[in-house]
Amino acid sequence: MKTEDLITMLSTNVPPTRGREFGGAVLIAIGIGTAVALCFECSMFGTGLEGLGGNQPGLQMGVIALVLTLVAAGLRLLFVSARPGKRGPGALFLIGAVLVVIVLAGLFGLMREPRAGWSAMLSGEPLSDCLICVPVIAVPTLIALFWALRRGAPVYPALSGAAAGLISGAMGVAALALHQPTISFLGAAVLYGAPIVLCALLGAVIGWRLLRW
Amino acid sequence: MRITTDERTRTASPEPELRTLMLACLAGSDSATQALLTRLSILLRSYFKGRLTRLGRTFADAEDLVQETLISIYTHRHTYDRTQPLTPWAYAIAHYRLVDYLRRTRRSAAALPLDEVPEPFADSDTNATDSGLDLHALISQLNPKMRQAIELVKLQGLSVSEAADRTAMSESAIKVSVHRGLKALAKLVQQRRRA
Repeated sequence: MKTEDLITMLSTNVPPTRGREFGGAVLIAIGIGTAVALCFECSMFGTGLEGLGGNQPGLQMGVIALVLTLVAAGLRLLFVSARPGKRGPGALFLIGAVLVVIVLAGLFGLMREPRAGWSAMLSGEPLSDCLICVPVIAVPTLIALFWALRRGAPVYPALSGAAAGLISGAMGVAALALHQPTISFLGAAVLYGAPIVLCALLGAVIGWRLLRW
Repeated sequence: MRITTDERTRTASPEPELRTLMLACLAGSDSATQALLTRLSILLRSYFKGRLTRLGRTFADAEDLVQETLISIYTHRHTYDRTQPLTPWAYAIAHYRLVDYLRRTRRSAAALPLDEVPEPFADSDTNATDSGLDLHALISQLNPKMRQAIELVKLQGLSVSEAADRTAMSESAIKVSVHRGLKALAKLVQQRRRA
């Protein structure tokens, strides 16, 4: 095949392109994730936001702010990684900084709380809510984000998949945090941080397999 | 020291012209798309030959890589950010295609630096050779809808509405079939290279 024949074929009847296809697909994916989260919240926990009325509102607001920061930074990383030639060191730095804060919060909780109370903070209703809420919201969001990513051109598929996993996990945790009052630093770090990291790792593995083009 | 015209031409950045052509391509200009892909093919050929030689490979596969990259650039042109330079975007796609090629042919991509200065298309190479791929044979492997849409719109040059009149498909179905057909064609090219 001559390259000029290929060029002639490609440049015949070229349709105009708005350049918003990928961004639109990501917005649809986030909309699907948000809708799933709201529906699940209302059906499982009602419309009340008990998480904001706990005995540690400052900690709870901090948790929600950190998780929403992860969603925003993950979105930035997703956009950058799926458009060739772009770089996103700022988003990576922000994600790393938030994860460091979560680890430090966990260490602070370990030092602050007596050893005998560790298992109580990580079991019971908070644990069961976490095990149900995060996957139910994260999986549909992850699928929708992968659908969107297939419309982009991710030159680093694992990184794009990790960003999608991070966003979906953080959205699941944000929905949980609105319902479940945070009772301790250790509980917040483990029950909120671990699912986000696991979702990001899962997204990276799936992205490596599915996002090559 | 005096700079000759040849040297000036050689060192001049292709970015302004390429970006102008790309913007016209995104607006739907056939002639700008042809000029853009032709200029990019010259730069890509030099890029791939240089990389394959550095990796101790012959550059017999360079033309296949040029063609794969041109299809990728065309089918993913919507990912180009109009406010940004074109060459880093095109270079990133070319680099991705090269890494993918090395992976498919079971060669290590470790020798390829991932972070390089974004001035990859410093040289040109107009010595095009035929690739080992037959365009018509590849198109014949597409499913009937895609094949028909590509033959009518891309090979015979009919407009989308004319192609829709000749077939039982709507105009939007023709557009979708052409787009999906080109992506399927890119996959076929990659599979043939793997085989």
